[in-house]
Amino acid sequence: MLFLELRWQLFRNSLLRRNRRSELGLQWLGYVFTGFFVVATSIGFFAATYNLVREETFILALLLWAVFITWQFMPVLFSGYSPGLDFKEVARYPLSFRLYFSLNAAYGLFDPSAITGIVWLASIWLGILLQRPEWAFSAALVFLFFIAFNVIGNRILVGLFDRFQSTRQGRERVAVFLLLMALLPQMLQFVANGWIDTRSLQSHKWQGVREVMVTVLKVSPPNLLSQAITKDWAGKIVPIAILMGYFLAALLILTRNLRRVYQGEVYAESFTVQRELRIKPGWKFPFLDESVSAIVEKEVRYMRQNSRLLVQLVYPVIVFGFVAVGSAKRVPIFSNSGNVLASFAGLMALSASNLSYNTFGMDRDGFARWLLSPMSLRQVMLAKSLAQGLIMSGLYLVGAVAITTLKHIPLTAVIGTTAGFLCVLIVQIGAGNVISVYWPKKVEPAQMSSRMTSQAAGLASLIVNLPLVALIGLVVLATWMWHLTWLPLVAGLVGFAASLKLFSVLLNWAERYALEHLEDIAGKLTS
Amino acid sequence: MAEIILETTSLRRTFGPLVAVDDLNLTVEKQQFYGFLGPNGAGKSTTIKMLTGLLRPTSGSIRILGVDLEKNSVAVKSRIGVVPEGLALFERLTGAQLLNFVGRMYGLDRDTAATRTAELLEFMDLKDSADKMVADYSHGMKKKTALAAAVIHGPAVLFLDEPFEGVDAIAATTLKRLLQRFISHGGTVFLTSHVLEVVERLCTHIGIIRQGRLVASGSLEELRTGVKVAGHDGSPLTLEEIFLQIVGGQKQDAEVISWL
Repeated sequence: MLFLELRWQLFRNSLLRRNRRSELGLQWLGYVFTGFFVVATSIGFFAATYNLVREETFILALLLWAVFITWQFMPVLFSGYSPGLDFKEVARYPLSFRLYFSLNAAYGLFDPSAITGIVWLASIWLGILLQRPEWAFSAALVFLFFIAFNVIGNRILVGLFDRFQSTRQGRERVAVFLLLMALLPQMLQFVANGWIDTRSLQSHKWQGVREVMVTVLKVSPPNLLSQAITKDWAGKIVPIAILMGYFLAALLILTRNLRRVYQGEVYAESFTVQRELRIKPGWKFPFLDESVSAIVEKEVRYMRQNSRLLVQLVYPVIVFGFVAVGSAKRVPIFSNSGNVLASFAGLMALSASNLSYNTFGMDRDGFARWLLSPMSLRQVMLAKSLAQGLIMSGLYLVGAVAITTLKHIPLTAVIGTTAGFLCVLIVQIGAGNVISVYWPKKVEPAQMSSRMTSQAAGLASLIVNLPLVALIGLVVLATWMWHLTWLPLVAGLVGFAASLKLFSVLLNWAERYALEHLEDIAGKLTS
Repeated sequence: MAEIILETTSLRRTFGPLVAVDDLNLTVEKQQFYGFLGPNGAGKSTTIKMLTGLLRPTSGSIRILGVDLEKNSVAVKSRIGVVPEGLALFERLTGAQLLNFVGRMYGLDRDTAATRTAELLEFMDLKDSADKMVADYSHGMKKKTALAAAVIHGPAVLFLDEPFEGVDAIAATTLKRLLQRFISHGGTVFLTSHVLEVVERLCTHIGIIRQGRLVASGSLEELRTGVKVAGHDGSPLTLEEIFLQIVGGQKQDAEVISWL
């Protein structure tokens, strides 16, 4: 009862943490939608079972896979978004190990994903009862076993997740892994649309891999459970025996892991002893003084260590590469090679917002260091802008060289596109300086729930990008309608010059605002 | 006449209706080790933030090394070192990278910054952790790193906000060694602290602030002669006794927590 009460309190506190009514409203809306989702999917599970299980018994295995994956991986994903109770803390109370184990398991039973899984299983069972009543009894027993197995399995996964999360590096790696998992459905959609060619996977050289995968699937828990329900009594023996083996193994692993924590194992950072202290002089950039070079170096180092940001910058490039260069179906817009470079340039320029719209976010407590340093805030922001420009230009250069190597693009188009890219990039970075001081947001790199920019910055980006897209669209339209092949080049060069002026205006604006609201900005960025 | 390093005139800071610091007139001379004390919420941190440029005064003026802070903040900042309350560290740099970076921010060339970084890491006993991210440092290690960052450019004045808070005895000894060395080489230190025993041992001069107003200022001897404690046995007053007499607030134990 105490833990139920605790779960309820954690849920209530997560609502009280919201400091803006709109966010509270959005969260309630989220819960309502989640409720609808569970109800709707339950109806779907029932309908699929009722309509299909009589003819196609494999459908049962498919549905059980859905329950299994959701139950096992959703809590881990949500743990990254909103950590709940840390069971390591529970171990310090005077509890027997048996009670500690039971509490751990019970806590897992009341996870939202567990409740969802149980509701889905009940829906499936109802479908079986109505359509194949001879399976109902064995299905009920099997599903009860499946619930216990999922609870144990999930607690093992969560424990493993906590172990990874105990070090800073582990936390950040998990955040990147979860981000990549979240991007996986999009990649699958590209495969389904034929934008990523998978025909080569059907060739003979992959046959061994396919056979292994089929064998693994046959002995996977959802498939074995399906066999335990649908086969006759003689056919049930082997699947049930294997499942019991899995269950015992999971139980042993969970017992061992929990006993370690119960006995006081502490996950901690480990220290490595350095043999000899060698301090390398900092990076020196041509034409830049020491202070500015130091800031550019610091920004590049921060970016290199921010795996989430790297994924956000590199992922669109990878997808673009698949779509533009390696697509099975030809995408009409890419029939013109100039459009390939222009599309890539546009993608990179718009991606700059990931880097520039919350320029102080990763600094966190370090923001005060800028105020203590013998540099004006304008100089600091200028140096940061330079670093962002160099990084994005470098990424564009790599992609542009690759594209111009693979596809023939006229030199005027390359120059015009590059000038246009620089124009949009400079405007993005300039706008980013203003947005960064108006809506600064502390970034927690190891926490999936921590966005890289504030929500207001996301909305502000529309105000910045829409006029840019409209201008570019006008240039493209005019070029196409009146065959003005010189227009993109001229527009790019003029735009580049204008963007430098606009950048300066925006920088002055950002500095003025920042100096008048220093405490507010520092308050949002520091602990 | 000793050189005046820090001087505030009618310094005031309000947060809406709350007056955090009111009519503060401070003077600190060269090579003084000035301890700025006060109960919680008295205005110590607010004062030191104003003195270091982290917070703008509502009114009044601050002169450091004879230069007006508001009019020439960059010039002043290049000659002071600060360990602020939050330490202000870039935690995603290693200790070595951070010190190197700060040194270059203060205009040191690359070689000098690298040399001083190595020396400071050695002095602060952070050599073995130089290539670890500051985010992975313990609290004491972070404090030592922050102090190293404050002195790397050879400032004339150090401002330290609660430098001994949360620091173990070994780290505290290192900090004290560095500060005493700094003073002996002509520097001036202005610090806030709750640890009265440490302040009593280190500081040459003390200022006590209460509800935003400076209620006492001077050397320890000056403060002792200015405070009388009824029933005292005549031995020299401790700083704690002086402090409690000036700010008051020692409550009688009530019969709560009767079960303890």
